[in-house]
Amino acid sequence: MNKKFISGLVAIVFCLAFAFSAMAQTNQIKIGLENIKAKRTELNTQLKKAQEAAKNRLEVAREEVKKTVEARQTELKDKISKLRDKKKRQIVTRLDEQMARLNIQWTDHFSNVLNRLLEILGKIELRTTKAETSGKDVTAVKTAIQNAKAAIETARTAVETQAKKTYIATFSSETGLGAAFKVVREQLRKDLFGLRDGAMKNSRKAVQNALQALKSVPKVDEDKN
Amino acid sequence: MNTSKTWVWVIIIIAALALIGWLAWYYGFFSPVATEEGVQQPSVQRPVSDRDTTTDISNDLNSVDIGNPDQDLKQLDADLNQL
Repeated sequence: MNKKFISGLVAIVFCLAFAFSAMAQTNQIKIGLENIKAKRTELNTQLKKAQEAAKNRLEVAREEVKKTVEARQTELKDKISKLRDKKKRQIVTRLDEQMARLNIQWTDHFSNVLNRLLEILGKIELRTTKAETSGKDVTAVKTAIQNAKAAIETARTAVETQAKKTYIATFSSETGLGAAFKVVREQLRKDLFGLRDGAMKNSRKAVQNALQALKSVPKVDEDKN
Repeated sequence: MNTSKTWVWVIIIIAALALIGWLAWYYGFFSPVATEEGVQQPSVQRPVSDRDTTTDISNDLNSVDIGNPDQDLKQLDADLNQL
């Protein structure tokens, strides 16, 4: 009886020791998973807020110049109405509308590209959190992420500045029409390419650098989510 | 003999209870945090997805097209040449 009681007790102790050891291990994993879950939620909230704020900023920028644009377009329409050639009147009206539309389209496109880059940066940040949770050194990645965020913010400001620009030709005679519109077209081209090859490409490069820093963390893709 | 059988059953029951307890805890039956998150999930948009290996991120980044305004600007040239 005494022997059986002791062997029973030993068996219970073993069972409980196994259960508690397993619990302790899974507890560690669970804490890690909850941290990553919390980080993902935090990133999504930040992303949504940043995208909404960017949309609002672009709208505000366009609203700021709306009155100036309207005044200059009224002036231009007045000049167009004085042109004797009907076909030229139609072309000039169309060109004016197209240039205004192109600037809106391209600033919207650049803003969407920045949103996408921010989403990708969110993924890099999430993977970094997973690596950090499993005890890896991610200092360089964190610095690169901050640099990328700064580059995206710089590009956002540049896009807003571009959205505020107006492209309205000024001409005094019918003979100078072509030259006047070519100057405006060249300015639009120069500005759009300046933005694309400057701030936009810089922000993409900064995200690329953050990804490169992440890739240099050993076995970074093996961390479970 | 009878007492021996009783002890075997006691040990089996305790071991089974410990196992059930651990399984219940592991799958989050005692975790209010997990339940709350489960309710919140559908209402939250999740653009930052689970596909976040460096290969996935690299593919995402490569698919980002900054664009070329030249094509659109060339459309203006047809009109400009008529002025």
